Amino acid sequence: MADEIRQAVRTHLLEDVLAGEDPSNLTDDMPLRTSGIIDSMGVIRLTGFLEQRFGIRVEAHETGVENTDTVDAIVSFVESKAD
Amino acid sequence: MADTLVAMTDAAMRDHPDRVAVIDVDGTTTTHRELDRLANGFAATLHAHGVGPGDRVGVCRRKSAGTVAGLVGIMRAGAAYVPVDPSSPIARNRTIFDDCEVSAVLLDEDDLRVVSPGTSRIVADPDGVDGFEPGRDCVPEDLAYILYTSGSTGRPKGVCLEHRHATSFVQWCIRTFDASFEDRCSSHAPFHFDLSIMDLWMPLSTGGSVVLIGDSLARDPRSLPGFIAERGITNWYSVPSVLSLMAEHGRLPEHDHSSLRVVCFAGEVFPLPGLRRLRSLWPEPRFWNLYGPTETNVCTAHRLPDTIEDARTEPFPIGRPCDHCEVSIVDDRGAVVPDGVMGRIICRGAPVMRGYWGGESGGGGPGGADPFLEIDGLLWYDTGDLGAVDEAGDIVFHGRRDRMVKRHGYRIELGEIEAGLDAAEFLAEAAVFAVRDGGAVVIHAAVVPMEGEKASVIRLRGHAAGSLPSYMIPDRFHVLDRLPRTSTGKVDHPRLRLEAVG
Repeated sequence: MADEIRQAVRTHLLEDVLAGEDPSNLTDDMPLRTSGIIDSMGVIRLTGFLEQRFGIRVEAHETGVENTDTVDAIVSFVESKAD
Repeated sequence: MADTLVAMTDAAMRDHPDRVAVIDVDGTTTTHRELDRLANGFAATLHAHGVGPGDRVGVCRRKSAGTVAGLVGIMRAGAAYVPVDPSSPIARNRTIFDDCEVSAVLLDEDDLRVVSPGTSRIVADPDGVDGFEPGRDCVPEDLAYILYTSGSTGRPKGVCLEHRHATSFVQWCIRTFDASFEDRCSSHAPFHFDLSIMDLWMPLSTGGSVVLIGDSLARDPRSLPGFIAERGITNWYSVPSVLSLMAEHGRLPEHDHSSLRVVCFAGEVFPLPGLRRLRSLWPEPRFWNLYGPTETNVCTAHRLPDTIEDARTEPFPIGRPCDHCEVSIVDDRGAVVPDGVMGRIICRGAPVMRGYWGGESGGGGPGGADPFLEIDGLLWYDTGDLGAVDEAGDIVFHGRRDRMVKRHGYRIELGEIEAGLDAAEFLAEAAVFAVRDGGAVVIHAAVVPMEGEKASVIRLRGHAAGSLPSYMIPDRFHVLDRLPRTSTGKVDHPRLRLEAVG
């Protein structure tokens, strides 16, 4: 399950905010929010994507940096919601 | 009729002292009487620092009741307020404060880097005091505020508005939206954005309440609907994109929005699908589409129908000229065009700015040219926008003549993004262009790395986030070996678009 989520999140990010980037440059522990790679609109699109793709409901207070700053954090967050 | 913002807010504080003036981000309330005392505290502190009539005072603070009191206090001291985005790169804010030579700045936390040495820094809120005697009363021709907008050369330009320009607009708002002391008006836009002029000065002139919306909440369409219900907001004003996102992601039917009376939007075109959805979820309030660049405040308005016909496919018009100004559509020679024919949107009258800071009429040193047209002896402000009058007599917006685009309601000169990218040590040059995708504007940047340097998208976004406000960061980066050029050496934009996006 984690691999499937990871792949989907990476594909979304590479298409949404990193179009043209070499996928190997997107490491799973790279800061995305604090570095400015994803802005607030990017978070809204990411949240919409996760809800639709994994059938989860994300509350507004859950979209902070702690759950969305790295691919690893996003994957753990989705896993915890899907349990 | 009171014709300065100082006189208008003074009157409300006198008539409605015990009503709530500001509901802070955290829900704390401040009455008009308390706001009056806080504003006096700021005015007295500024006065003690030598600030007086004709001066400018920078404001680099997050939204709070104290910040609102600071704005009132600056004007009471006779000065003009110059608000900037505290989350913008410090260098950009410093450029703005240096440009208009602020004599003091209001800050949340002390930071030496934000102003030149020797400029007074007033940190946090001074204690409130009972009265303040200005050296002289504020007059309608005094500068009230300077709002900086994106400039094509990479330097932001300061739009100078006098008290009389602001009050003619605020009085129009009060008449048009039947404003009263019972209103609770959203303050969604940041204070450096022109939507804040109605948000703040309409309710503070009528004894109503300003409901402050913090920075992170303002960008969270999932939490805003709950907030609107909880605060009992009666008047909402924002850019359309926020309303669209609320209609799409905000689960509006889960909330009680019966308090909403007026919904205004401005700053960009509201794409019809989102507007239709929002209207069906909010059938009760009056909806208004407002139009006007920062230089004129709002100059045209259109009240939307209660239901949007299924047959409608075009966005709504920007409407008719407001009754406190004149708006006309002219050709390149300044002659009024017939109905249905596209031309330049121009405006003159009470709400039109003095000029740009540094321009001929704005004041200060050498600077930007004034965008005024003289027609038959009268000066008109040329908005740079194109429009045409439709069969019903309403003006329909047809986009821009130049390289300016709008995103999330913000004006963006593509040249300013290019200047921000050019500052990167690893880039040789950059060219920026915008592509319309449905209702949205997608900003593309084509960059050429310096020899031996690699420009990955991650590196580019990281650099852009450090040098530009977030709304200016390009959506797509294209790394090229060189930029296509015309025979005269200019960037060949049509070819660039083809090479970059096909």
